[in-house]
Amino acid sequence: MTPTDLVDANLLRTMIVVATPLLVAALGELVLERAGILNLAIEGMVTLGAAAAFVVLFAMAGLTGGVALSLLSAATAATVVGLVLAYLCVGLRANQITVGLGLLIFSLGAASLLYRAVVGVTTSPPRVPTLTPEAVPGLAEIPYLGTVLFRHNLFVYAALLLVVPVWWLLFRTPLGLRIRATGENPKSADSLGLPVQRIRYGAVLAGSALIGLAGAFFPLVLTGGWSESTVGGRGWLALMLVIFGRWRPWQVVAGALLFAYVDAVGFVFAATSRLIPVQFLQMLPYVLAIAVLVQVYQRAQAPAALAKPYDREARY
Amino acid sequence: MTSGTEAEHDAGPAADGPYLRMKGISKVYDNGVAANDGVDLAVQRGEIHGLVGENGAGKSTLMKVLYGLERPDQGQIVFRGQPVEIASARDAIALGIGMVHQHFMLVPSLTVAESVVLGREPRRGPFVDRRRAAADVGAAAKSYGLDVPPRAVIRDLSVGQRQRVEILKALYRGAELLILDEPTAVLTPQETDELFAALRGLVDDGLTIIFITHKLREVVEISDRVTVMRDGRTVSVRRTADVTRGDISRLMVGRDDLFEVSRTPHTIGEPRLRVRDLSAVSAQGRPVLRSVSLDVAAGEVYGIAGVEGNGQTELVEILTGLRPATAGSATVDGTPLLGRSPRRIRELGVAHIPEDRLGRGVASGASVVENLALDRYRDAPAAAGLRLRPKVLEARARELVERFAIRIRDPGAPVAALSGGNMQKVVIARELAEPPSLLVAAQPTRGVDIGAIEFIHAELLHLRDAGTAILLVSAELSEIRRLADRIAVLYEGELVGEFDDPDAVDDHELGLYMLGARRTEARA
Repeated sequence: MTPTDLVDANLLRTMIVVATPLLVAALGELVLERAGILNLAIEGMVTLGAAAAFVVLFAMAGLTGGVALSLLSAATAATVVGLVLAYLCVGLRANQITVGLGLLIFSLGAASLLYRAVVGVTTSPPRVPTLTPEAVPGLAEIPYLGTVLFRHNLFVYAALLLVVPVWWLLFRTPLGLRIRATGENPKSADSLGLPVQRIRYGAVLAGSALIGLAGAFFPLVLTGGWSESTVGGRGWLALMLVIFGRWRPWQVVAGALLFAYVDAVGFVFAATSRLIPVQFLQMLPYVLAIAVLVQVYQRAQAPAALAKPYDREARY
Repeated sequence: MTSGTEAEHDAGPAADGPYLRMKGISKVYDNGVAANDGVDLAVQRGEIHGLVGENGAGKSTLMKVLYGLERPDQGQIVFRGQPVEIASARDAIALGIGMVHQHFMLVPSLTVAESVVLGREPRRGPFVDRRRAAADVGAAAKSYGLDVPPRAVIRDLSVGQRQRVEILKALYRGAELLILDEPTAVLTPQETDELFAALRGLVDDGLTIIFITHKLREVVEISDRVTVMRDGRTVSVRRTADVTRGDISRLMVGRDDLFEVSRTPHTIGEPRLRVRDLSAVSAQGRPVLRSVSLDVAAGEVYGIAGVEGNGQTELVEILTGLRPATAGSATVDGTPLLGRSPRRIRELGVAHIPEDRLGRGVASGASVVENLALDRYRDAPAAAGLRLRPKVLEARARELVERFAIRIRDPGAPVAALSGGNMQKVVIARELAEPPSLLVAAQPTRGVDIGAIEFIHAELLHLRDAGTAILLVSAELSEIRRLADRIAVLYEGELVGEFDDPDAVDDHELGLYMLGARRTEARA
């Protein structure tokens, strides 16, 4: 391993691929949190999304429409969990930490159940082919950059560009302004006649769908398989990225790329270095997460009403 | 006519029926408190109508009903001659009713323009037309005389500016009837004058205003008519020109025997509290106290005035051991305070009336007995070894309940069941049971009724006369005026003025210091 290996084109290409599920899940969580809802079930929802996508790919092996249907089922599965979250936390004003952790365990269990029900118990876990990268004609031939940026499949591009509509929605549209107001001061939004509950429901469902889609990236793009440890804490990383990005979409993207890079470096080291045990390399992103959070959290400005149920007639 | 008749007579004949009429409004909260009990209110078009009453008289509840934030259990609202149902703020806004709440309803991270247009944003395609929003809001601010920069972020605004944003929000939505709930509670005298000027301008433009306050001077100054509420009922409606402050005060409290406490001159002793160059920073690393130095002597009330959020809370918390300082020193009777835990500080004879009564003053789920014992459960006679002695605690509680005139039937009942005034008396009873050498009193009468205010003020002056050093922090200038032997002003964490003779400085001048427009040169 030499210093030039750290900016190797294939390493950076891997970084982008590894970043995609983090990015999509974090942007989904961002939408939720901007409306004032904390979703601690995120790791479970990503895992469930991954399982839902995988079983569809597995069952429809090779049939046309399998990919589209797998994305749809990933989004739907997570949205159903999101609906329960919204009903309990928005409708019934339950404690968001309790509900989130409960749904986390539920989603993890549901994902395993789904997998067993469709795939059954096997000695060697089945695989589906991951989507093949397609070189963008012309651009892919650019030295270095072509390899880093223009040899991905469509879904990777879609994930990278997702930040644009999310940012536009939150910071340039009337709906985004209302979502942010709801997350900061629901009383204020209510006193202006905005439907606080509806806005929060909508944000939870839309955010959950994105979180589910993030799960689909694992079988579709990254691993081609599914197991209980496929997601392996990347849902939690996404939750952390929202804090790291201080609830701003572009910073969330930057954070996702940074963590994906550390993750990717770990892969490369693991393949080439015999000095450092693999487990330490796999630990790197999480160590970085802790180190960064300690710094960032002190100055972070969370939406003021995050995780606080809103009750119009509550007394001060 | 029914119970409203007397009101009509008092107020003189109404030309063509009132603009707004609320009839027999009742609202009982879940905890069984009847905040409104058949309230009547009649407001004429184009007037400024004062709505006065003590804390807990039901003014805010009545206005929340009018604005659709509370559902009344009974009653009827007639607006512009039509009976109306107001089920939400949306309905109220549609009718042309706007409200500026006592606790501002603003989103700190939004700009002024965004805050004002929120919910009815000007659009360009699918997006907010931000340029037009800023232009519209800027124009409205100018035309109504409510000066505030449209592109500024709410977080960076002063309290007075935030209030202007709140009024603009209502006007932008086409409000013709504007409700202002305790609008001056957080303003300096100058800001109050500016607000009143703006309100008069709005009335000239055809607006009708309901002005809620418990400050009588203001209601006399600004209102055309005044409705007095007490214990959830309408007591009287008068033309303001026909009544004196004393009349209104008697109607509010319901008795004549209001006594005025006043300071008597007396000699002060040696400094007990000495603070030197005290500095502190916020959790975000922003300086919140800058090199504050002051002395408070035995037998002296040292009043700290200033707009809230200028370092008062931090100063109090440092002196009571709840927050670390970054530099400087503080001593009580020569013993350093900084670095000691709250308990060690209390053991030096320092008592603390915290500004956040429910958060820090009491344990609201615990009983009165337990709350009164919170600072002395460890030693005899309250404890015997590891065991508490409930009989002793109860006997002591009964004695304190009597001595501090706390109105409760059962000292075993949870503190949460008490009114604000009685809850505060529990705090005061605990802190002042034995005369402290230093009392740090922060907003000691916030949200309590007039009777309790009189009682608390009398207790504080009594302690002062007995030789306690009192550091009084209050957002109510009238309270500082009444009690303080010396006055200091905190502005952005700095002591910008100190006045050894309070009578030598008027409210207007203090206001200039509070706004940071004036400062005395640093003392040697």
